[in-house]
Amino acid sequence: MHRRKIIIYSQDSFTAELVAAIIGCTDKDIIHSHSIEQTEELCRERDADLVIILSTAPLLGGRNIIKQLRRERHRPEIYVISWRHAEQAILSLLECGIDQYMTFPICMERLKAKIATNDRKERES
Amino acid sequence: MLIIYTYIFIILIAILATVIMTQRVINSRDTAIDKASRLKKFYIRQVINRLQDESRIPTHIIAKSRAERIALCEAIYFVRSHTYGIDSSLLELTIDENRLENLLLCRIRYSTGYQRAHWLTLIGSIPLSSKSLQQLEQLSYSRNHAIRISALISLITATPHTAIRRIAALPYRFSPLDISRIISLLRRGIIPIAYEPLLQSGNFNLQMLGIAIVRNFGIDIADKQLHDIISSCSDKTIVHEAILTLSSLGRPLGRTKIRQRMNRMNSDERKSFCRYLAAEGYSVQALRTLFSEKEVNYAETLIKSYKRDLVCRQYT
Repeated sequence: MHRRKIIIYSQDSFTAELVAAIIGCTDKDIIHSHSIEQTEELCRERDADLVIILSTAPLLGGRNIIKQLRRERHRPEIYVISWRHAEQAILSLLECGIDQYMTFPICMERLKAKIATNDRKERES
Repeated sequence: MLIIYTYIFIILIAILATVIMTQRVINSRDTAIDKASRLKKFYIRQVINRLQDESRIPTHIIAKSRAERIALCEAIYFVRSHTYGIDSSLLELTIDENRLENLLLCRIRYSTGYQRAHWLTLIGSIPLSSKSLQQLEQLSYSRNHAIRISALISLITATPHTAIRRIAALPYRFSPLDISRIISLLRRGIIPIAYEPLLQSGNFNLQMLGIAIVRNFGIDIADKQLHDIISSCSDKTIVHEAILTLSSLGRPLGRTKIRQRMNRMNSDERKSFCRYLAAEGYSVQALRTLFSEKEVNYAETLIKSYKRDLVCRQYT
C-alpha cells in the first residue's frame, strides 16, 4: 500500500509536532522541514503528496514558492495553516494557488477530515 | 621580575578557568533546554493521542519528575491554545493523576514578575478548584500588569460566564495586547461573540473589546454602532479605534460626523490616519472628503511610491 508522504514546514518545531500528531502517522510518512528551501528540496526528492506550510511569511515574501513546490509534473496539494485572519491575505494566498487555508486555533476533527478527503481523492485518481 | 611573571600567569589561569566554566554553564543550559523541548514534544503527542482516543479505557499519561510535570503543563497549554472544540474532560484524569494544579499553584506562589505571569497563563488551561479561583481573583488586581492580565485571562477561561462582569469591574484600562489575548479566547469559542452590548456599554474596556471583535471578525453590519460611537463618545482612544475599525472594514468615511471628528484632531493624528487610509486602499477621491489638499497630496505620494508598488505586486 502506498504510504502518503506529507511535508510539514514550520520554524517552530512544537507547532509542527502538534499538526503531525493530529494528522497521525500510522499510514503516512511525515517529514518536518525547518526552512522553505529544505521544503522545496524534500518535495522534489521524496515526491511529496501533501505540503503543509505553517506560516504565511514565505508565501508573501515575493518568491513564487508554490511554483517551486509544483515543479514539472509533480503537483502536491498545498495547505497553509497560520494565525493570520485578514481576509485580503487569505484571498491572496488562495489566488497564489494554495489548496486549503486554515487558521489557528484549528479544529482537530476538521483538519483530519480535510486530510482524509485529500487521501480519498488521491486514491480515486 | 619573577613576581610580575607569576601574576601574569595567575591572571591567565583565572581567565582560562572562567572561560571553561562559562562554556560548561552554557552547554548544560543548552542540554536542559533540549531536554525540556524533547519532553514537551513527547507530551504534545501524548495529549493529542489522548484527545483523539475514542476507546472507553483511557490511556494514562504519566509525568513523574518535576521537569516532566512542567513539560506536561506546557504541552496541555500549547494544545489548548492552538485548537478549539476539544473535550477538556478527557484530560481531567491526566491533570488529577499528575497533580498539575498543585504544581502550578506552588509555582505561582513562589515566583514573581513575568515568571509568575507565565505560570498563571499555564494554569488557565486546566480545570480549576475554588481555591485556585480565589488566588487568581486576588492576583487579577496585582500591581504588576503582566500578572494581573494573565490571572484575568485564566479566570475568564475557567469561568467564561463571568467574563463581562469581571472586565467591567476592572480598575485599569486594557492595552491592545491585552485585548488581542482576549480575542484569542473568543477564537477558541470560550467567550461568545456578542459585540452589540459591549459597544453600547459606557465602559472603556468593554467598548474597546467590542470594537476589537468587530474588527477581528469583519462584522460590517456594526457600521451604525461604530458611527454612534464616533459621534457621541468622549474618549479619544475609543473614537480613534472606531474610525480605524471602520476603515479596516472598508466602509465609507465621508459622513459629516466623522469629518467633524477628524477636523478636531491635531496634525500628527490626521497625518497618521491619512497614511493608514492610503494603505487600506481608500481612493484619493475618498480621502479628499476627509483631508486637506496638502494631506491628500501626501497620501497620493504614498500610493504612488515604490513601496506601495511592491506590496501590490507581492499580492498578485
